[in-house]
Amino acid sequence: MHIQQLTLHNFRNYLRESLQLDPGLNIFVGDNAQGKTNLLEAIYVLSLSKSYRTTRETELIQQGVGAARAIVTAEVVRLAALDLAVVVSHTDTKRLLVNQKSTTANSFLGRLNTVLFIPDSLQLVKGSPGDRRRFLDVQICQIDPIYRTTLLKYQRVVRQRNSLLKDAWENRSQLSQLPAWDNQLVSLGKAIMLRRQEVVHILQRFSKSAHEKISDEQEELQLIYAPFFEVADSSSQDTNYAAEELEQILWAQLKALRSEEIRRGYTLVGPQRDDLVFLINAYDLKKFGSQGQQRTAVLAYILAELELMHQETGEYPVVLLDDVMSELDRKRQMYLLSILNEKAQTIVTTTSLDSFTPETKKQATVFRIEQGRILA
Amino acid sequence: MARYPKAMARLIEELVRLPGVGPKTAQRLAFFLINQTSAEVQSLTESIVQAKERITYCSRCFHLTEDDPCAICSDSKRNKAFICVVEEPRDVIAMERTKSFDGVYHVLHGSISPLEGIGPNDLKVKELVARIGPEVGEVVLATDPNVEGEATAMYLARILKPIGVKVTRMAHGMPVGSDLEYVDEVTLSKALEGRREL
Repeated sequence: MHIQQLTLHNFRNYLRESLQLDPGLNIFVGDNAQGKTNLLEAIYVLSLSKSYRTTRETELIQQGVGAARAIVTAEVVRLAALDLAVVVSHTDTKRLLVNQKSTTANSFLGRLNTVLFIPDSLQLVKGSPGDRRRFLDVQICQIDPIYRTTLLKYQRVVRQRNSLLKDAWENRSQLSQLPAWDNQLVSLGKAIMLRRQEVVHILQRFSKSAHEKISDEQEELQLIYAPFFEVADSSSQDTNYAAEELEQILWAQLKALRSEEIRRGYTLVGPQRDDLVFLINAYDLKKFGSQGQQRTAVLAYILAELELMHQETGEYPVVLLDDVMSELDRKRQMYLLSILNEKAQTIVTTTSLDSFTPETKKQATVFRIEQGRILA
Repeated sequence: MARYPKAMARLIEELVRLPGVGPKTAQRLAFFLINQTSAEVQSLTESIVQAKERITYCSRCFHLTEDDPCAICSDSKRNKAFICVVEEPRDVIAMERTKSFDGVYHVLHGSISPLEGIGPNDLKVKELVARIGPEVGEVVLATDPNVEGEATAMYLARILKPIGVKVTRMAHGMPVGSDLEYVDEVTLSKALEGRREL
């Protein structure tokens, strides 16, 4: 799939811009603070209905010009053409439109699939387990609307259950309703864990082969799903749990950790404590990997996401690369772009074209961004 | 609002307290009301006062009623052995519109939600348990299909089953009269889970 036309209206620092994108490689060049990231953010919003940079959505509306709302629209070419729009307003709730018709987030997601690679993506290895879960969940939500609903419900159950456990000190009688919440924690939690396990297996396969090519088969990358009841380090084993097994484990953990949960006042059992482990030649990449090794692993993971989406939806997603070329050496950059070039529409931002090879520049459509204006 | 005459400002302030009514709507309603005839306004205020005076909750099922017990509970044609448990009085109205339920109701007045500080003791749970005598054959739990409704149903099932009554839960299903291809994935997968043999 690819974006044919993109229109921004009162979005961040864009007053009104409309542009035709190439189905292949698009490079946006500009100095800092001209609007390069804003452009990628707009595409991301069209893909996931919300921004990765802020949770206060009115920030997306252009400041200082009295704009009441921000509108981003895209003409997406899949099997058929598709019009997507997101309207964020100061006064009304956000609207998501598919072919000019308002729709729910659930049916909006998955229309335009994206893979995002930004300098912050290195948090996938270096960051917290929460960062890694978010990476995983964002990808699964795009290919599986049921997963998204399950996840939202599950998060609500955990919030309710935490509130119950927190009050349990003062009000022991409230604990009588804990089993009613445990039931949903297990059934929803199990569904989330099964899907994560399955997706990580697919990602493992693809990222391993991508990593071999980038590292000239010098190193072996292993990606392991570490459910909450396992230790997430170099001792992690790649286990494949069946649904019944997970259910039994969840119940057993609830029983074993009950008094600890009451003492601490929050939920200790469930996929909200899952993690992902990256191993390089059986070493824990987070602890022992060099900056370069971590970067390569993230790159391999991003490429695996691309293949995952292709496998699950039959089409390659649009790839958004924000200012990451400068972080990759020439070889990695060539490898990344050569793969993307034959597969996916790619939108790259950079402060300077110098970091691109002449061949790359020749293939690309180059746009210049200056103070919220896009000059072809 | 300081610019409005006192009586008008007070009316607007009263209206703003209504759920779903903001300052702008309140002003619009206030203007509408003062432009009505005295008789029309009288009729409205009377209806409010009367509703407040006459409407109580049925002492058996806790549905809204003018007479206690309510019309449903005192209807001899209703099957008293079959109790449908719902969260709100408006759910009773919705069920009644189907005309396909001949049992009686029990209104919980909410669902379990620790985040909002609502526990079983804040709902009409004790009253429900007290209603389950030997004559009651089945209790169908028709709480909302969200996590709070599910937890409430689960909680009730755990205390009702040991009493020896049959406890059932409303099914998730396909909307009638729609095409399969237009049903959203979540509803479809739930309907598949709850399939039945023909």
